[in-house]
Amino acid sequence: MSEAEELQKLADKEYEFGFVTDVEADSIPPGLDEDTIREIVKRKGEPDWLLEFRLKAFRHWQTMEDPAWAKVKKNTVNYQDLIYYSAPKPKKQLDSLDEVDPELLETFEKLGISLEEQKRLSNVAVDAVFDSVSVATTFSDKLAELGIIFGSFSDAVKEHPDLIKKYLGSVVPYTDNFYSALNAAVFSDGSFCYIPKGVACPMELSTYFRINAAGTGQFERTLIVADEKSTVSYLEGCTAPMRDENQLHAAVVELVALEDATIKYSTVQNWYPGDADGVGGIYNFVTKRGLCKGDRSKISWTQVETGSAITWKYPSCILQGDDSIGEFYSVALTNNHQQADTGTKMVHLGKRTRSTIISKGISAGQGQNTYRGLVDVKKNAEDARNFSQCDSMLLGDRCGAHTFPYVEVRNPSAKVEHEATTSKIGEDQIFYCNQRGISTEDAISMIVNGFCKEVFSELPMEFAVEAQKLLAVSLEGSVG
Amino acid sequence: MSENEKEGSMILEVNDLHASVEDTPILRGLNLNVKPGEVHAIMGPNGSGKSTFANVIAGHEDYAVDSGSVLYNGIDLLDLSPEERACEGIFLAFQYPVSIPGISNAYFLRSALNAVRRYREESEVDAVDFLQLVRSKMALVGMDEKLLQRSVNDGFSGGEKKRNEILQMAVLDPKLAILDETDSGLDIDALRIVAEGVNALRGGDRSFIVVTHYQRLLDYIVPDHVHVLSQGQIVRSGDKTLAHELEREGYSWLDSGDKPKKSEADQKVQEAS
Amino acid sequence: MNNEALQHWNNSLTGQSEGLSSTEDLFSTRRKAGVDSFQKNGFPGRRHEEWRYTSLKSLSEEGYPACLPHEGNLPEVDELITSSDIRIVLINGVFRKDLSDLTALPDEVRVEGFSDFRQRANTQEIENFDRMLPLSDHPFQSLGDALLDDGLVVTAIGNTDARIHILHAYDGTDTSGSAHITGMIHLEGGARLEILEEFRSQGQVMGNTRWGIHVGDECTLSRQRILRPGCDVVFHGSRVEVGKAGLFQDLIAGSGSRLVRNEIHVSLNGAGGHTDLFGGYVSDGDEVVDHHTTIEHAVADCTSREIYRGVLGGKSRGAFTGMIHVHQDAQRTDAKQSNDAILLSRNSEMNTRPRLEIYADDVKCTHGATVGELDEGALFYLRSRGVSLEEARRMMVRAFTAEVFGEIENEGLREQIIEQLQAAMPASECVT
Repeated sequence: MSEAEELQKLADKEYEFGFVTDVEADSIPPGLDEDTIREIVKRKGEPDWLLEFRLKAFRHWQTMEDPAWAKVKKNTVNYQDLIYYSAPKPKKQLDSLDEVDPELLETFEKLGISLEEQKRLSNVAVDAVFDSVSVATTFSDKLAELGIIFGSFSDAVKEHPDLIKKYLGSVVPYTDNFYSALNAAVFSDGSFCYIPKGVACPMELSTYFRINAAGTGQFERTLIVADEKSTVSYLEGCTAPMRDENQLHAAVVELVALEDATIKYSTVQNWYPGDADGVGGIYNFVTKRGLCKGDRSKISWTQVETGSAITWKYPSCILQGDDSIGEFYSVALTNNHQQADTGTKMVHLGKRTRSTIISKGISAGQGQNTYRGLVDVKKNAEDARNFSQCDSMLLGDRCGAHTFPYVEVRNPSAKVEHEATTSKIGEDQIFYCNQRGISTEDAISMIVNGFCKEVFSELPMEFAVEAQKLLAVSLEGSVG
Repeated sequence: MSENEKEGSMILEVNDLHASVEDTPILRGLNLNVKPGEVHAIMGPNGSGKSTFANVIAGHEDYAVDSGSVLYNGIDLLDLSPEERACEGIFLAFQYPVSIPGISNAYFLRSALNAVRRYREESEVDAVDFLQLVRSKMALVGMDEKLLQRSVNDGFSGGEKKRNEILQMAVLDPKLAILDETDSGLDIDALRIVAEGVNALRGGDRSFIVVTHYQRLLDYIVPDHVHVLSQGQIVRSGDKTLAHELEREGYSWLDSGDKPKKSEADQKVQEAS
Repeated sequence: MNNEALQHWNNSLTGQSEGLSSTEDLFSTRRKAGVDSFQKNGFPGRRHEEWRYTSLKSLSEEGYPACLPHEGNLPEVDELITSSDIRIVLINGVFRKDLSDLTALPDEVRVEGFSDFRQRANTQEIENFDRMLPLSDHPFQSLGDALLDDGLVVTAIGNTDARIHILHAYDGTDTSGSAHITGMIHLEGGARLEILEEFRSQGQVMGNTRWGIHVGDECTLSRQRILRPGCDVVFHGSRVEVGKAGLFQDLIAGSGSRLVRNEIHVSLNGAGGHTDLFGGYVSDGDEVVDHHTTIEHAVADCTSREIYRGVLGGKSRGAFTGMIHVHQDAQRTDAKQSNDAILLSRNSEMNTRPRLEIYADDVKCTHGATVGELDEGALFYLRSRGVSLEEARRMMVRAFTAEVFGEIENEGLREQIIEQLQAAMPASECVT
């Protein structure tokens, strides 16, 4: 079978996670004004200070314009048509997982995320977010013994208001950008995680996001605080049903690493990408930022982006503490009509701060893949170091690969290096593999995985395997 | 020999093969029969179609077969995809092995071996057994083990690439191996090592087709039959002495269609030296 | 930029432009469009993405809007060592036949001012002019159009070879102001030209130069632009189209200019076309050097190479924006770009934005950017062998810029440029 036929056959496969869960939802009507926000606050039973925070953000958002600078083509989002709160019913205080709606358990089961006691991954604690709310968190008791707080954002607002007040919006202020302002106004739930001083979190913490309801936007908020000398590794996964409309996902993730703390944040993003003609799919407009607040702190972002109609995000590091380290490892794959404009910002403020950027963009079909990044060395960042490498791979002649790095240096002792390359899979490489008995499909997947090796090696083991499979599935139909 | 007698006794039967590259005819009626265990050398000047023949047998898409047939162990070879041919036991040692950055040599070779084994409905080889197998074969071609962890052919010297080809051949255990100008770009020591590797794999039913411009490789890999390819056809066949004759006399006699005059052949040798 | 600041420009612009258009001619529509465009858009602020690193605030000062007088003296600078035997002098934007020497000009090459070109040009040439110098809303190009007066047209057709030295001189000693030059270079039929453009300036002067360049099939244009010390504000805009197997080589070098903005747009329109874009500079004080390049690989089988290197001291700022755009049909493109900067002082600053936009799959494109200080290890090594710190730094800068200047064939000129840059080397605070 020729390369083209092989790939065509595979192209006919569909998005695996496109099913819809039939669960009764408790939603508020579409539309957004101050009353919507009051309604969200009322339903969630939130305190006044949070209402104030939300309203301030909303008022600021109203003064802002939907940004258009990214290299993406998108449909206009009508913010008045969206539903800003949707929760599976009945939403009551859960005492144990036994009380979680079996439909929901089954949904997560299908997604490979088991919430049931006996089937859980032994070394991963999961917070499952379904549409706007967190439905279950596993292992929270065991973590509590170590003083680790891990659970839904809503619970944390009630149980740890001081921590939330102190850190909410401290890394991504609501004024930061259009979507962060919108998120601050209407965010419904998300995960909160606090690792106390000197504690190395013994298991991977994970949030699994699922958009289910039609017409909803998902606006979750994640806040992770790693206190002095603590370490944590956090995983995030996402899927959504297949729908013809473009659903908006505008999340905010804030990380704070204090002195000598390390946060590793890994994402495998597999939101519904739309169909082969580019209809439907998630608009994934996410603000992720980490603050290396303390000396010798470290924040490392690893992302594998294979889903979404449009991905538009720049997980960033503010390197404030002296000797702090920021890392960004990314694989972004765009197939069919997918578009990705992604990258990172590394802002060097402290002395001897170091950052590494490894970005691998793969474009197939009519996919458009853009790396956009900023390395900003401020005046007092003595001896700052950055190394960036942005590699693109093109599969087919109708896709595009673009690289837009910004390098701004205001300190002469800095050393900043940026490299970029573009390549393709050669027909001679495929033939060579064929001649050794390896099928075209396997050859492509092997070469692409080799291309992404440096990023996959940063992922926790289970995720790395997952990511490789996902990449192979997402590549199907990419050439021909 | 009648058709019936050929049946079963040949590993490769090429009948009146015509093939072209980008609409330019290269092979124009090539005939060749190879029995199990035989070593055939195909010699000829540049542009005579040697590499085209090797690529057609391996199934490269850029080489279009216009007419003729190729039977491999009695089955129609031209019907098979390149990877099916490989799994059936055809191995091409490339003249210019491509590099594949990002994939380690070990991973590549194990993937290939397991693809072949799956095809033969044999169990896959795990990493530990594979490593043992590869180590034993590496000694055969005098290859540094470090090369296993390097990307396939990436940054390899000419000699390392050719040894890597022979290593792959040793591991994949083919029934018919085609060496396409394996001697090009090798110094005499590397040539000897590569040839020793090939000789160690000779024997039993394994057949070889050695494609080369020069006779020197045939000093080390001694062929059973030698064929001269010119303008897409085999114009002469003989035993190993034919190779020596070509070495002395060059290929220029092919142009005139006559046997060369002595003086011309001498001149050719001088030019070459 | 606020409107008040632009009043100086707007007031003088209309008057000056109308003065030029007293008689209807080829350029009066162009002048009108330029005035309208500039009055509508003015100078962009730094929020404009293309002007993020360069402030044009100082240009709204009173001194610049008036055009410099046609008369003026050549600023005294050492003569450049040139292999050219044809010399063209422009003073304050006016082609001075009296100071130029065209005696060695081959028959196939024509050099003329706009007044001659206007009278002589055929329809095709006018079309070329409009295509290579299109109307735009670019602030400097609008100004150039609004105040279009004299300019230069160089045409070379056929199998010919010539070396031309163009001396752009600005004399702002008696009165400050600006000068706007628009020029066209047209090569056809395998012509080969080497053009050395030298820029000399004194006083408060804004020199605004715009070139439309056509390098036809199998033609070669090799251009060197040297900014001699003492220039105030320099804007260069070049729009270049390269035909089949054409070659366009460009080099810009300089030191001691207050504000330099160099924009170059090269479109490789025929198979086998190649371009080299090289730049080297040393800056000090509060100088700003901003290179802005675009290479369009519009068709298959073209190659490009780009190297820009700068050494920055004082409070000076450097910027580089380099776009490589590979169109969908431009298979087998090979494009290499690099931008490197050395910062010598705490208050110097470098901003670099390489950009790749790629729509074809069989291409080789790389870009690299580095920012750092002089290699201390190498400096120490040199000093431990007895070389003084000052000399060691000069050697390092020479080595750093060698790749840029290495291809200048005229050795004397090459040494002179390196010498100019070495002499401009700011004091380093980083190494003691």
